[in-house]
Amino acid sequence: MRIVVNMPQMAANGLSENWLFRHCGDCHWQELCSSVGAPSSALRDAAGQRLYPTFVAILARYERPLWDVEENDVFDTTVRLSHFGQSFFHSEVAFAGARATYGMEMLTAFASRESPDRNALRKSVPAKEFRYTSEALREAPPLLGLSKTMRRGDLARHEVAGHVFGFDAGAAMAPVTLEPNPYFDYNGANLLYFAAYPTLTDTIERAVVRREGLAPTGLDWALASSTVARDVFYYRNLEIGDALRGTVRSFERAGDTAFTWIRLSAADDDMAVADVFTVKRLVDGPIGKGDRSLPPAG
Amino acid sequence: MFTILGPAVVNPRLLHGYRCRDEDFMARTPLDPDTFLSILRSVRREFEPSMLGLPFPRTPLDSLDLLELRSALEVHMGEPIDDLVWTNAPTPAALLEALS
Repeated sequence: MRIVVNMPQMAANGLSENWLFRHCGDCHWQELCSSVGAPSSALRDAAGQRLYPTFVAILARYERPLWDVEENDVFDTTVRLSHFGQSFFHSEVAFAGARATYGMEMLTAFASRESPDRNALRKSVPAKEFRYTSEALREAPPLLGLSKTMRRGDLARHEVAGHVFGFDAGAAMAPVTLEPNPYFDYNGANLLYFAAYPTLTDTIERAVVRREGLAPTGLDWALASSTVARDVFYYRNLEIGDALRGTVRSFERAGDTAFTWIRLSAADDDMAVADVFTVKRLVDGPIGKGDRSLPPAG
Repeated sequence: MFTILGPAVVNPRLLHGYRCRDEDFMARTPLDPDTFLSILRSVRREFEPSMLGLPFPRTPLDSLDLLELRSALEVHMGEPIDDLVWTNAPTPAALLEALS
């Protein structure tokens, strides 16, 4: 699929990561439906309940910061999809341009609603009559093992793009609470959309950076930094109208790079919603463009 | 194509674009107790043989473990597990009996 980057694909500082997640997720979903041989609305379990492929984890790696993408840049998207049993679909999605490739490794599992009017989900599988045409894995993808360990909180360290995040609960900063926007952060099934998690995390990170005075320059953090790697581990969903609490569990800076680990949890019961690990290039380093002047309005 | 965590193992018999036929699932691989336990322990290392008779909620298996277990069993047996069989087995031992 060929994409010419224009304003819908862009944010204030280059390629929109929210759009990129939506695009890559949609490619995963479309390939999945092609493998199953059914449109998404026809995905049902044996009891006839509607199924949703929910994201377990996404690892994103960008060869260049998102701010390197410019208007009218041309990209081609390729998807390599495989499945493990009837439950898991794993993909590698590459969004490749002339100067860099923006890649994502994605893992989904099927889920259905526990009750029709709530967003609590339970794992489920399509009816056994569905047969898949994608590559069949003989073993679980390594990302599944990592996701399970992360979900249980059993990891002592997590490495992202060469940086080791240590698990030190004492390093956490005061949390930021916000309510996801139902007009943008939720999908057509009224579920908190997987692509919203990075954006919500960025919003929380920016608020903490401003509050704690962590920005390296006088620039707005959204213009002074740009993502090069992101790991998202998804644990549960959130009802429309419920608030999300974001806690920065670690924020480190080394040279021209910042490393942030944010735990998202439901504000009402503090149950973990996701862990998001982010690596960003900073404007005053040797790799950034250097001139991050504000773009014209509109 | 990049692979962040390393390549997964693909069954060459089921390459991309190959649509499985019903007869592909007829060569069912039998499930014996040793293999069942080995699969359980590959999903959750802490699983002990003494836990086979425990109700699933009292085992260390969480929801993702259970989904991985179901997938690993399906891959081993070469066919999807019927939802009724899966949901009606109260313990791992009952599941083994239903699948054997």
